[in-house]
Amino acid sequence: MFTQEAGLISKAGPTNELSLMKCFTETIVSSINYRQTGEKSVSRSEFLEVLVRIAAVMQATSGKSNLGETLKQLLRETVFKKAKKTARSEFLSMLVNDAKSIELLQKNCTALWQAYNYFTHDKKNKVTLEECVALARHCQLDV
Amino acid sequence: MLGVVFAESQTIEVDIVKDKERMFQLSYSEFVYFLCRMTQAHYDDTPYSGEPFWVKLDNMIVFLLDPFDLKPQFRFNAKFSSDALHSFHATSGKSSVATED
Repeated sequence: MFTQEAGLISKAGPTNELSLMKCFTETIVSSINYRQTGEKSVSRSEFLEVLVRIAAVMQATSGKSNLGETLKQLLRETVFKKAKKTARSEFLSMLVNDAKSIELLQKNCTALWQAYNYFTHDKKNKVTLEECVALARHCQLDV
Repeated sequence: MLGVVFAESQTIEVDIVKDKERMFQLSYSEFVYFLCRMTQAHYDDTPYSGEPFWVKLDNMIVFLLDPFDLKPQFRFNAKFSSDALHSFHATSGKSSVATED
């Protein structure tokens, strides 16, 4: 899904699906001691490794000598163009320094706890991504 | 964008997490941050994007709690300044175009 959204396997993309799959598989195998068998998701460090491996594939096909330059080109011309950016620290510092927002959250604490507890039970104490997506859709939020 | 907001809400160090399921879960504090961040993202690219965040949250909290049949315990009952300006012009008989002139 990432490779499709980033345009890596489009017709004009720099690599094909097979070589990209090889990059992911090699990354997963390289960290096999740290993961459960059959697990397909990658962590952030593994994701960065995948990007380097993709750059290596591009370097081999384009005949360039510098892997660093190829990686920069991959990030600049393909990945960053379609990446969605957020400013977490800016929003967080704004939120914690906004007295009225904090007052609003504190005074609605019980209702927010009840909303959170709606998703949890004895054997599940967290809210999942699917539940958050369903909540956003139910509220008809344009996010 | 929802996935980005979800990931941004997490406070865990994802590289050292052994249970990858945790990457798709939110604790209570993360859930509250998620609601706030989702509220901010909802008003991005709208005429209300420049309004103070607490006004956005004050209006949105009703809709965020509604799926759980909950009502806010406290609200400032704040209105967006652009809405207030619009209603002022409507009641005083002035249009926003006339104001600009």
